[in-house]
Amino acid sequence: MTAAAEESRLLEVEGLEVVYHTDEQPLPALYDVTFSVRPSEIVGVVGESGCGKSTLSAALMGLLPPNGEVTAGRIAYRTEDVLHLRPENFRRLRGSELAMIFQDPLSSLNPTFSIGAQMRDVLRAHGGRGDRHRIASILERVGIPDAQARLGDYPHQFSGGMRQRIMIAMALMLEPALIIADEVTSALDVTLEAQILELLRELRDERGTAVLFISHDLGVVAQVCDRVVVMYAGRAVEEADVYALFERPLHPYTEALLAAVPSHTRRGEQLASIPGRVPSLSALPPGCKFVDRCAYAQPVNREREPRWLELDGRKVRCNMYDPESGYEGVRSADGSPARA
Amino acid sequence: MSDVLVDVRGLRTWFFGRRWWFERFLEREVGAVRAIDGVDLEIRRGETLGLVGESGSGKTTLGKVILRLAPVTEGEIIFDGSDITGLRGAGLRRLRSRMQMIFQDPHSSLSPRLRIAYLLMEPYRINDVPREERYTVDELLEMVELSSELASKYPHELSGGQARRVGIARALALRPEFLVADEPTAGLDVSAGAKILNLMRDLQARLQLTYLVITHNLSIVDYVADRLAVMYLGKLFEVGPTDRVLDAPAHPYTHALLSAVSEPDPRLRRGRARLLPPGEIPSPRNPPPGCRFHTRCAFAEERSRIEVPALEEIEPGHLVACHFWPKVRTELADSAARARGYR
Repeated sequence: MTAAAEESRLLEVEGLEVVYHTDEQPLPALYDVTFSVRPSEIVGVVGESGCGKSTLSAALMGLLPPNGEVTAGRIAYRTEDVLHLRPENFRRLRGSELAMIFQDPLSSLNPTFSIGAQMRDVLRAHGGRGDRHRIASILERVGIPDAQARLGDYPHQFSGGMRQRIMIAMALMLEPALIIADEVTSALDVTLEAQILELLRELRDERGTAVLFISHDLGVVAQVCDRVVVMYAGRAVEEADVYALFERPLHPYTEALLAAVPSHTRRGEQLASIPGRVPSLSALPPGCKFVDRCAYAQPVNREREPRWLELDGRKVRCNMYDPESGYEGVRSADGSPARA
Repeated sequence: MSDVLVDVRGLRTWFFGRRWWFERFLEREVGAVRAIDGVDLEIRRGETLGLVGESGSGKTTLGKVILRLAPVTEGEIIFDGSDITGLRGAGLRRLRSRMQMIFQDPHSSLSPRLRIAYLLMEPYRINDVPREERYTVDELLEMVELSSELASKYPHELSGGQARRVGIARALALRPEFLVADEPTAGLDVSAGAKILNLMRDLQARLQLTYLVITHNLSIVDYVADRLAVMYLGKLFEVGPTDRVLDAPAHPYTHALLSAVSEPDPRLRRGRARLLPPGEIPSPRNPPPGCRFHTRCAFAEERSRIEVPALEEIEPGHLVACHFWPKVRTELADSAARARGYR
């Protein structure tokens, strides 16, 4: 890769594998995950529960639980290899360069300290001055009215939407280049959700903050992301520009997910649901992990783990598009859409 | 037999803090939480009525009051022609077998120490149902498309979707006519949610059920509901056939809710064009005077601050509570068309 191309990548994940050690057997939570985030880009990661979304965000932040281990691959942040960083250096990186907004603000904020004090601590921990005006101006930026007067308030005195904004303000304080947002709107009403999405987009436009947006909600992802990675059973199964993905999904799983979203255009019809369940990590089928639920499965898919293929600037992990797979009637990305 | 199964008239439910009686007396005027504050609503036999609103709108309380699970401060509830507002004891128990709730969080509504088979038979024990009128455990599981192997499991062994189905089976055990479903797909993955909605539709056709579906998710009601009621701070703002309410909304709040929906189509990005009401829903302890929406409404004028708009019928079956609805409808017609996408 040329130096210029390296430069344009903020976050680069290559062949990442994470295993959770348990008493019975190691569970492969992530396998061969590769993607990148460029500056001021909003990249979505979608999938159902158990697909590895949260493991991915924990691995990126260096916050895997003690039984979690990165067994292969590389995570590079601005060309710096994060996996082999000493803990104190990683701590410096978190906050100032990388920040995370967690799913549940009430359990991430300390109930016994005021908002102002908690935000001041973050600034001080990173060698800044905890000056009230600066904190208040960040809070106002994320839409907390009369912030100066509310610095002494405790988390329970704010509404759910406000708490989520405070979490965003804390993530922004050190002006990170990349924010990892893990299901940040799933607990909010539609109106608040729309406000938070708009806020993230504005921050990107104003400051060039890149966002890795993790969500199970395809609607939200369609509204806010530039590019989307779809995950299934610990693997990235498809990656594409957001318009291309929703217009013409390549992977059968993406197609099935999109067909299951209820909306007015489908009233009175049966919603297409995906048969079966996500396979358990302790009993993954040997070939394609989606084979038991796939409408296009052929015997070859039971044995052959699909490769991460590049097709017309998009990526997909599916034997159906791989000429070497032995799948009968292989499709091309621009050819017939994946329909029987 | 009348067409209307549930008829709610002038309903108010106010919650009072634990106070001395004279404080409570004073509170009637100022401090009570007015969860429901004057609601008139009909639910017709065999239909699905969607009740939507933000958290704090009182929608869940309304569902519970209709089932007599929350108190009534004022007004009456007519179920199948008879007034059930003051029902107690055995009468109330008999009624409960005809109307049931599917709770929002199935795991917290199923006792973790009891097996599924026991949980499914519990309604029969409570209501002393003779054996010949009971469904068997297998029949109930089959009804909600679960395998009979689950009978011997405990709730924690079930997935979210399975627990939700057990909740539905329990609600169906007493052969009710009317079901209230509170956020039926909350916390479920897209495809598990789709399966629950499909199941509810099949059951409705098979057992002639009437549903009240409570949700903040407009795309769900858009998919399942025949009629829609939009609620805000204890009052109904708009009621009507789903198609009319969503295609040609006449209340600014309905417009705002619609514009906030995240459609799974990036071509429908709305950016700043969203009609977001500024701020958040005010406290039901101290609702704004006049029209309750005036603090967040772009159309509010002096009159909105003083006069409470009544629900008026603007076309057959379509009711709206807004002083300025003709203006709202014409000015926001484009945005409504955009909000609903390319039909």
